[in-house]
Amino acid sequence: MYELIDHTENINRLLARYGVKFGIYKNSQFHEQLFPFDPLPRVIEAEEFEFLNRGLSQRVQALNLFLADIYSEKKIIKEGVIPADFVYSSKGYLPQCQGIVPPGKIYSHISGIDLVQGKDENWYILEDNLRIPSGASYPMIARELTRQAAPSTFSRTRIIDNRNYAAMLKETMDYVNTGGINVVLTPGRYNAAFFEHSYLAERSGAILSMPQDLFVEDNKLYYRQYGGSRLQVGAVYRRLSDEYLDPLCFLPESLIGVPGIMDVYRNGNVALVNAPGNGVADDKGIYYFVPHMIKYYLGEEAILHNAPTYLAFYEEDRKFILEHLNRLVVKDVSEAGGYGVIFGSDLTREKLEDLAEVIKAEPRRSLISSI
Amino acid sequence: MRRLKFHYQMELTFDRPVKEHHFVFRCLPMEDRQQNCYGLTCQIRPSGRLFVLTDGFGNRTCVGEAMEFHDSLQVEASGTVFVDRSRETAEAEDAHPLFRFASAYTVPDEGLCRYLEEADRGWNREVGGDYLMYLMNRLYEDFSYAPGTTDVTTTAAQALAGGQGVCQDYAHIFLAFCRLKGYPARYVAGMMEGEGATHAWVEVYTDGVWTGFDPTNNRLADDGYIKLSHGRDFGDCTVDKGCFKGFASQRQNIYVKVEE
Repeated sequence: MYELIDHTENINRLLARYGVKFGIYKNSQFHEQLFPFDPLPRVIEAEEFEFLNRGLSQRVQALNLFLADIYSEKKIIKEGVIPADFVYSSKGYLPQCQGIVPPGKIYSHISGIDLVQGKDENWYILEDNLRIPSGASYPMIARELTRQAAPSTFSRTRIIDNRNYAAMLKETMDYVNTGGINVVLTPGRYNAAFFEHSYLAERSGAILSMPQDLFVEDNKLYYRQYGGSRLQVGAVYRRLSDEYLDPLCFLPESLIGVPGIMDVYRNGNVALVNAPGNGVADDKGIYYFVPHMIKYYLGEEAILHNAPTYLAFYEEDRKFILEHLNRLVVKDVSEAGGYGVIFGSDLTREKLEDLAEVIKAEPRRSLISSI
Repeated sequence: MRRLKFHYQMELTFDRPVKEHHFVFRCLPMEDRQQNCYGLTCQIRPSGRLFVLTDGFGNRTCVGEAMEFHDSLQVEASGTVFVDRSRETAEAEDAHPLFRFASAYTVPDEGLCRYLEEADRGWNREVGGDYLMYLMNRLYEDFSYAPGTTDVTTTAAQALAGGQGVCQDYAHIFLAFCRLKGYPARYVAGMMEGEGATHAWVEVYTDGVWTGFDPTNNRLADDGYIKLSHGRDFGDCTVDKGCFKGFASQRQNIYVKVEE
């Protein structure tokens, strides 16, 4: 492991050379930065890893069943397990997706579930990201480079290999593919995770395509090749958010979408990875109910627990929140990726009072956790 | 019950040719317990395949594309519909909870809330009658029908502030009122007996049934109305939607005829 520390600089240089970058939008300006490499790994022991594996699989399975239910019969609402308001006022709920059965009945193929280990050594779920989570490519390339820099670390230590991620991604796409090629759809160079899009496409053997490379004809999706010929597309790992995906179905002003793609998808003629409409399940307000979902759909207790969380929607919780606001973390339920998070301890008394007013006025909007 | 024949015709003309034109038409009536459709046809020129699908709200959509250069696009739809608004809808469909919430076009502003409060003060419980009928009548009296004053992006709040608009605006304002009052309400795009263009009205869910309110004409929707689609607002029910590649301005002509 010491070799790794010695090689930190080399590895960072290689990462820069490969363009391993991540972009952040701040004040509507795009800043791109290198992904910093930390040579000291967080070691998770095999037994614990297996435990996390079981817990996460259980959670993703329940979330998939929830999505299938919400976009069809909505039993979980009818039986009063989750209040209807939380589902229908969620920005992530897309009525356009009602009645669509995705190929393979899978909604969340790639789930980015954030875990945190508390001071009590227990693991907690921080949030679920089921729309277009980023991140898989960074440990992949970092592992590749660290193997080159310090091969002995890997021969002496028994480490679970992550180099099969691309093969698993390909397997996932092939499984839901309705006939045709696999593509990774990127909004383009100025997307925060463009490096990841290109890297995953290359590694999984899918074609990296820009929106203008795809078009719909006769209720099928095609990829435009050089020279004018075309290839049918059977699965799209799309890294474009729902609202921009199809100007005929969602935001009409979207210039980066593929017109008609939703109707092809609705007819079962292409698979979209992940399914549009998943935002309702990774909504931070719905997060509160995931343990109830696991119980409802699987008849099991949640293996991994949520971080202690309070919903301002419930009066009892609201009271607690307003009393302890300076020690809590407040999240806007419809934001993701670290946006819309406020730490009560950072605020002045005045700001705290303002925040309390917002919570009182829009109790549905805030989720409060103690970590 | 009535048997109505309808004919819908739309022509888009471009001043310069366009290509890769993708479109979605919601110009075929929907099927539910109050409407049975026969002999529905929908054709386009330049000719191409149209796919008839059902969207998330249960509306029929005709989707297709014209990939080659063209300077006009015509759509013609026709068919026969048996309409019976006396039949109950409740058994077949519960009020979707979504219709209780404000949607993009119906988010109320201060002015709209104030208008509703004032209207409420004028509502005399003792005189009786139906509150929603009263509300519709009031809107009908205060708002004037004036084509060209609003456009497809005008929201309920904007239209009410301007005091004039078309059927779409009447519908959005009435939707905003109903939802503020806690009634699930949905936007309806459709056609009315006679000749002209497409129409829009509102369905409100009360006592287990959906009732059609037509605030533009200050009356309830009856068997002379054909429903094309319903949704949260205009955005879900747009009759013609499309996008194309090309640098051209377009003109649209619509002709609708509904007769016995």
